[in-house]
Amino acid sequence: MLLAPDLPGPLLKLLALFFWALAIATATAFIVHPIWLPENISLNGVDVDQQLNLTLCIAGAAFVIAHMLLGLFLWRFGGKQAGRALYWHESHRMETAWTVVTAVIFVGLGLQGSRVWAREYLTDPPANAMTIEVTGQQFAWNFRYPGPDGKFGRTRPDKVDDSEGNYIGLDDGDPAGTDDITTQNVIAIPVNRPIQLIIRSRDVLHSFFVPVLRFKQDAVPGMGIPVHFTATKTGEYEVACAELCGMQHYKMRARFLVMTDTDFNAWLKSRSQ
Amino acid sequence: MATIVAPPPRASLPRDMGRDGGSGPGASITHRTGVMLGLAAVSMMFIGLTSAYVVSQGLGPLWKQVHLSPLIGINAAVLLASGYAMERARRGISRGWLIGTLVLGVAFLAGQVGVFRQLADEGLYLSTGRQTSFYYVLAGLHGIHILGGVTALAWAAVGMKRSTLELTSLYWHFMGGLWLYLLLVIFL
Amino acid sequence: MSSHASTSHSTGHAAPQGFIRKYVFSTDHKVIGIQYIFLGLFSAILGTALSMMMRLRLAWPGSQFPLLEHIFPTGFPGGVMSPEFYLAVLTIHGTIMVFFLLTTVPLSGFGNYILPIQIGARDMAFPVLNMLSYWTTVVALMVLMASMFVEGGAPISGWTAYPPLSALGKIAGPGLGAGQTLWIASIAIFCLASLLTALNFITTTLNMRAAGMSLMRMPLTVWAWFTASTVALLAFPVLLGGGILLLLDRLAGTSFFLASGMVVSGKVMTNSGGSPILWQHLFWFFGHPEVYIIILPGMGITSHIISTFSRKPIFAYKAMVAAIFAIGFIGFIVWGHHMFASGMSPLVGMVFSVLTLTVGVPSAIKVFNWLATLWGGHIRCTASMLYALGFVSFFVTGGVTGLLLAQPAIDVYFHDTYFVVAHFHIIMGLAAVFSIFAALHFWFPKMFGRYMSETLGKVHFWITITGVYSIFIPMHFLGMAGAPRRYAQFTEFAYLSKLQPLTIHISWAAFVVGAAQLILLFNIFRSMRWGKRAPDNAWEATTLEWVIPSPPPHDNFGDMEPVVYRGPYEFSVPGAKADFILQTEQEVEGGE
Repeated sequence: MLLAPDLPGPLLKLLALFFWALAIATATAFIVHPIWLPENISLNGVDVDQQLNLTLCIAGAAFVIAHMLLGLFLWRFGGKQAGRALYWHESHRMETAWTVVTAVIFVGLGLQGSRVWAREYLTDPPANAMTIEVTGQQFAWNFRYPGPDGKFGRTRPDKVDDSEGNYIGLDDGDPAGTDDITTQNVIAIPVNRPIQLIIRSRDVLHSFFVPVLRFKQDAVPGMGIPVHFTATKTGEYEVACAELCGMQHYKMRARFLVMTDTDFNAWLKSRSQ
Repeated sequence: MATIVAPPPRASLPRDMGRDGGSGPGASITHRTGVMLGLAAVSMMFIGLTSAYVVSQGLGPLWKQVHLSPLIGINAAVLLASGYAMERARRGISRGWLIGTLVLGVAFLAGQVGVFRQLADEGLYLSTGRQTSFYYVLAGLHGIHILGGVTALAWAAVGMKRSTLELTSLYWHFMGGLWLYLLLVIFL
Repeated sequence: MSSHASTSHSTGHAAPQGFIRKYVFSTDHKVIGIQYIFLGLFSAILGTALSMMMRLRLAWPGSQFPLLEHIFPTGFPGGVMSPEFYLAVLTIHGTIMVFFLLTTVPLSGFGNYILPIQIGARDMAFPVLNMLSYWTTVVALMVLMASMFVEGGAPISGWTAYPPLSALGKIAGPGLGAGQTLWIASIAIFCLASLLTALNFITTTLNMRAAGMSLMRMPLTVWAWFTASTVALLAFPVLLGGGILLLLDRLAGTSFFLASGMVVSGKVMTNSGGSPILWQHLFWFFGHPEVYIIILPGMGITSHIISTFSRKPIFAYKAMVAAIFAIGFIGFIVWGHHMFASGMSPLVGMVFSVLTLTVGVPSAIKVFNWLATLWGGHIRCTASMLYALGFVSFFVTGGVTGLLLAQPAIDVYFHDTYFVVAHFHIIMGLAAVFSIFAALHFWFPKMFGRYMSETLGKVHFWITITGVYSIFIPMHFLGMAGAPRRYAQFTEFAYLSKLQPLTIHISWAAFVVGAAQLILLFNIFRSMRWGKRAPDNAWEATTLEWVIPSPPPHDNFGDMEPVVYRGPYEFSVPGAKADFILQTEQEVEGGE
């Protein structure tokens, strides 16, 4: 019988070492994590981060255990051995055990994650929530506050005029719109107050992404998609576009300001003039 | 090493045999499988499109209706009649009935084009509203498949082989059923 | 059935004469398989070159590359790569890799060559259709290439081509005119070719098996190709349908995917009432199964190779078959996990999330079974085995991050960030590519009668796996930090600018991996001529391809009629003469 050019031993042991090193190095990188998510400033984000950490632990354990075993088996069975390989190809007990254990862990994780999701997305915003409208366009973010009357005025596509600063097509025929306050590429919100955003787009898809709030939401033409959150820390942050929207997608940025109530009111007042 | 085992005595063959295609009697099974799989793929495309239609129905106000005109009814009747002719042709291996099927198929296609012209006269073009768009797309794609079926019928009429007739009739009946399904989705 | 099981077929299959019939418009599944593999090789070279250009811009966004300006005068005005050119390169890279490499090579390439032989058939069920499918694929690739050479260049909407961007025409940006139209046409043509191939594979597997080749004696490769083909047959038509609608939105003014009241570049659009999300449903109804079309053959190849080189029967054959089926089936009902942030109902998102985690169970079962197959084996260290082990590693690494992305609460942070890019490059890109490497080294001796160089293979393996992990493990941290994908540069945002050193590191690692692929290319072409001669059963393996000469004759089995007496992985059977028993061997002990 011919033999294939198979050098046994050292290379397989080297691969075992490689897998072990990979598992240890990756686990260490994730534990030390010089780079991580930006700080969380959202009330809901606390739950998200907790679920993220839990899932990372489970995923990390699965990753490390699998690579440790892979390395171990290569180390143990990669060298020259006498006789024949083990003729063993079935164990109903083991198969049942690992199927059940994985199913319980995976589905359990899914249900746990769904609870976090439901708390955030299947609830109505609190009654005192402040509503702000977000409208994406190629390649800027427009924001609109309803003003003292608490109502947004009508918009019409044919009223859109970028040269006059009417980016969202505010209709001057609607009295509800006269006190609306619009801004471009900067949004301010009061800290510790529930905020509801209505996310829209006037042209292609965009995605409203504020990393410190731990969520993103696509802006879809023809839809007004509501999301709500409460920011818990003042400061200046960034809004990015996370859905490919054209050649300047990478610069579609807005400033995201979280202010104290007094600062916010002053800011809003300065914008309304 | 690397030897090919000569065919053993029949008795020693394992009981759970594979299936053998290739030439001979196996070929018709193979072709039948191929046609059925092709029809499964066609079904998936129409299931995708009709799902899109149903979902779109729930969106937006500009939902102009294509009305169930008499011509659409006549066309459906013609297609049903062609199915009957096909069945007679298949059972009797009859060229006459087969040509009848072909003529009815062509008549159906002509009728479908007639419906398109009627719609255009009413001002319902491909891009007028999403419902008219879907009607044109679904009827058009179905028409293309009927055109393929008419070609197959012509081919079958030349050779008049039983196996070709069987496959053609399978395809033709499926296209008839598909059109009824599309009518149900569009007008119900 | 048995009455004609052993009739000879050799009469129907005379070898064709002449170069054109033999090598160009051949109906021989082996020639077509090799044609697909070379088409994939060409695509891989192109796709890799494009990714190198992307890494160049990401690491040094403002730098000048005068040399590249000579090659792409419009893409590098003043030597600096323009953002729209970056997006065009990104789109073509994704499209070419997903469709013309990862879909084409593991399934259409190796499946074409090996599947008929492994089930004991002389050719595919429909040889002429097979040839037409291949040449249709070539046309699709040519149309895609043509999109790069029209006014405005290649489309900039990514391989997912989300409308409205992809539906509006050139008013929405460069490359969205003729380039986008050609892109959709190319994908539609590719859909047709793929579903004809799938139809052929399924029919062949169902109807062309040799005597004794019952379903549960089929190698896991055949099960995987069969299931992937079934998935392809049912998924590609939906993309084709969606593609037709998208094309009409562009060319005929329809509004399937275009909403009312859009204002693009200052112009009010007349479309009304369509939904951009509808495209996402149609696309991902195809797109998620597509991932399994890509990875199932890799799983089959890996199972096959791990069993062969562990000299052990695959652990839990039946569970492996069931897992392949479960993955293929569940794969059809999880597409919504690509759309958690799309505006889809949050309740529906929850259902998709739990279903998605369910698909992890059969995937995990496969990993357990691979590990159990290694246990107690006499593992042979061939290049092919190393790649297969690399597949297992990537499958685990890419799989566990799926646990995060499957949960909508976490995914709305990670969606469309580099975390996703790292995830799918590992599990769909690299795992599948390593299965291609493994398959290439494993079946090369059958295809060309010569081994590939083991030494070069091992060098290539070590550089590639080390390099690839140096690219993609750090890339997860870019995603952690919230870096969105499809950005032409990261310098416009304060929170992203600090990540530049990491980006530069990733680019360097990518260049090393890219360069290392030249070793593989050299190995392929060198070994075709000068490789060590291989015997018929090059690896002392058990399945039918090792029964026939290398390379096989035109009708595979010559005058002989293969008859199968046993399962596919009879290694190290106690009491047997050798540590492997061919499927065609009748007696357990003593042999003949």
